[in-house]
Amino acid sequence: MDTKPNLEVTSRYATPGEMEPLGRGELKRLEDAELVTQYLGGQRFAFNEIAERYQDRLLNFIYRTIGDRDRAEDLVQETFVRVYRHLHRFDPARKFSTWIYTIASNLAKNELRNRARNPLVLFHSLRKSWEADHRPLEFEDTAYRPDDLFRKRRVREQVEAAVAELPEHHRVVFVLRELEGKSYEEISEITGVTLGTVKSRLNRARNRFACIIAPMLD
Amino acid sequence: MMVCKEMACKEFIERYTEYVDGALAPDERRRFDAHLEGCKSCRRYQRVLTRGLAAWRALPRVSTSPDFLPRLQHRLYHVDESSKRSWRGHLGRAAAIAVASAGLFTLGVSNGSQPLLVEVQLPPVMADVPTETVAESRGSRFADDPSVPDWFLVPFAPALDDGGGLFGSTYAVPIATSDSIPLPVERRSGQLDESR
Repeated sequence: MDTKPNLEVTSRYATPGEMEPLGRGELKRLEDAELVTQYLGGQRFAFNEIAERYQDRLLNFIYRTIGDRDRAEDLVQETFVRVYRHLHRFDPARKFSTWIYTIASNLAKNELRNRARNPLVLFHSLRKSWEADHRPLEFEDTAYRPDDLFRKRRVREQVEAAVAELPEHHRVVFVLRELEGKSYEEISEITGVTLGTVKSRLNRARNRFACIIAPMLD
Repeated sequence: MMVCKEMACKEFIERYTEYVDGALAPDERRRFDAHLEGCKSCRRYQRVLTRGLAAWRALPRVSTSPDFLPRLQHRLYHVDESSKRSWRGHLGRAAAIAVASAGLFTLGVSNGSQPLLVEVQLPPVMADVPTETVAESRGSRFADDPSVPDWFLVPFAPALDDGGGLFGSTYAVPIATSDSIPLPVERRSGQLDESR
């Protein structure tokens, strides 16, 4: 039984009868831009599909950028609300994923800037992310010896800390490239900087990252 | 830092992003490959970066909480509601402005180039006056004056008359607009003295 919640909202654009209603299976096969068209044409479930498709991707992107899982989820919600409000202004000539990542990226950057202005918030969020209870559950591989497990966990912590140390504008580019696998052109569009700046920031971020983790990995 | 005849390590590090992301021309790429083969320092750099990134990518991916979509649905519902309210507010304001504008325009047109003076025609004042009261009142100073209408001689404001003397005579009554609120009374000189 499908227990997924239904984002059936009263669409401002819904004009019943304009389009043939599509089933969930058919919506899943559609490209992002087609989903947007379907939604604007009155297919209310199309937005549900967009949300399902992007919720985890955006969560990981924002979480890796700001380092606070709960806040990241709030920002993903905010991203979808903004997408919902402005979907009619989406240019179908553009790539939908780039557009939605641009919104998410701006929210993440604002969050980092707000934290920089308020060190107390930064301290609380960092402390929270260090607490073991807030880490996702992992099933540890019993084939590893305890010292290997310890070392592995230590490396992960160091790697996370290294990314957290990157300057904000470097970190966004770094996460988009290394985690999300975005092209330079997409990163340029998402962050609103030139291709040359993207390359430069990415290179500096990689250098900095390598410098921080080198003692752990040698 | 190694400086080979083809390339310095500095250049390798500075353009490593282009090298690793395949953004170099084939010739350039061969130069980088050659440098990497002969430079222990740059090989270490690449190894550290590759392993570090692999460790970072291997971090468990997080998922949204189970109530994520219901919460989103709730928020979107409120977005729609506030949007509707906002439209209603805009429409209401626009309608009020349109009505006011139309009214002013109509007045302007009807008055031509005259200033906008509003002439309000009040309904005639109707009063049920007992015949005898009028007759009694005719005994006053104005009683014989045919130019004084009957309504002028009607005793005004019974509440004020209760005192029995001071206001017990006839007063001119401004055109009344309210039944309940006593209006200012214009007193004609000499009337009070006559009554007393």
